[in-house]
Amino acid sequence: MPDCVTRCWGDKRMTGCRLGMYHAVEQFEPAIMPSSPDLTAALRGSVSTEPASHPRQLEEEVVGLFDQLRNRLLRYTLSLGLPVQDGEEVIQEAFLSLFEHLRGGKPRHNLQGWVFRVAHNLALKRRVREHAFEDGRRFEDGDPERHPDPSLNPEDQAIWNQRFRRLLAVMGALPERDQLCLRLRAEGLRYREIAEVLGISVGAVSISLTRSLARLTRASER
Amino acid sequence: MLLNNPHLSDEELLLLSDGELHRRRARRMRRHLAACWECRTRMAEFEDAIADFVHVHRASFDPQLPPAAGPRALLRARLAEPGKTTTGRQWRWPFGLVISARSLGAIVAAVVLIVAGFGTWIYRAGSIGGQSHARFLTATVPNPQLTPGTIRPVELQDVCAEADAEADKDPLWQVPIAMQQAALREYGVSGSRAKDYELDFLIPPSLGGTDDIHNLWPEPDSKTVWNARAKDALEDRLHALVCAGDLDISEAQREISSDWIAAYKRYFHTERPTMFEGQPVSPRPPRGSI
Repeated sequence: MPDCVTRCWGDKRMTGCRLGMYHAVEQFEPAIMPSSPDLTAALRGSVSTEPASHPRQLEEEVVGLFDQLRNRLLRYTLSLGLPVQDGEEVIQEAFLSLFEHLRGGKPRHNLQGWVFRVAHNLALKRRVREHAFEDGRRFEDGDPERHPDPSLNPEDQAIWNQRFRRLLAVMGALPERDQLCLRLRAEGLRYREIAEVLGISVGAVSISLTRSLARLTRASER
Repeated sequence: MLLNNPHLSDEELLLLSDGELHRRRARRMRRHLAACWECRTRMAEFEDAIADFVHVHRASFDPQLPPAAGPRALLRARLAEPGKTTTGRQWRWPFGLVISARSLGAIVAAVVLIVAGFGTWIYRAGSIGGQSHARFLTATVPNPQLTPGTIRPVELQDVCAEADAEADKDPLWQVPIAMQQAALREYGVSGSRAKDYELDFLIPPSLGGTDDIHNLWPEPDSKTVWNARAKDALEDRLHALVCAGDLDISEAQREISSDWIAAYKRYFHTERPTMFEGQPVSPRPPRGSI
């Protein structure tokens, strides 16, 4: 199994396509995968990139990371129940903190996990302050009919819409922590990174994901 | 994979699919998958469920995502604005010195840490015979003061019955991350250096070791001859000998915790681990040949 597929749930769409759903996924996220191998490695922490000594270089580096992570972070903050504008502000704060972090010569290991953790904490604080969506935004917000897949014929589209709604219902019934584990994994975080963002053990992440996917599998089989 | 259940559990399938398994266990699972259609079918169902989830997750939120150009320009402007990245209350000190609340907090924290750290240093230096520098040594052999190895009372049938299940499971999964980080800190491993090490149990659970910080140490991953893979091979060998009745478990625990490299040489009859595609190749000696 190729490593990129193993590590990234986003790429699993290439291995288990049914009902042409991946066309729809692609149209939502044409440029989500990192394009630069060096930057990808830095995000993953698999290499320690040379620190940018000049402030201008550092700015470019932070903006480059922003380009790679912004959509994923915004999707995650929205799933926590923040409005888009608040989510954008959280992300701005997270990247300004990242700039300070790097400018202070602090560890550059696994910047992706670092930014997600900061954004998660900022989003929760904001959520409490604004009393917005105390339990996070549930999956019921999705509407398959708003984004029909042009590759499907009407019959398949109807079948998919029905299945989509069934999956939404199952996901919406999951405890919030299980939903967050799924969402963070879908955004490309490894189990250890998810554990650090949510403050739980790696084993708990594994159990949560297994439980949730077992439910989703049963829902798909119906 | 339990002895009385030949198939992989849902959790094992997911861990394998996500590349989160300990390498030895992953090898075993892949061998099973290659032979078992039932497990492969369940694996495919899991992959489909993941694909469904990714689709629903993105379809639920992606339509709301505005273009990134505006926020990117805003971030760039805020980064370029000198002094604007740090926000918060500031104090003006004598001689025109301006200090922010965050900096003041950092200074206070630093003073506290220095005082606490100095106390800890004195304590540890005393407790380990003045070898304070040992805290910062990361070597192929653990520091016996920090990692003497800890065991739990076990019966032979316990560790041997676990052979295909819990003993082969990566035991670090059950260790709190805070404890893992503390173990790395004790050996002076931090930041990007951590990737070169694999946190390992000195006495593996398959030989009765426990998930205690005194049984943990950062082991060089692959860049040294005596690395984590060589130790894995020794663990497998000792476990096999113990379960075959050729070696007492307490003797195996003592051997691996006192000097695992010497034990490797003794049990594999070699001065250096033989490597093949990154894995030690070590044919099992005939019974009683130790």
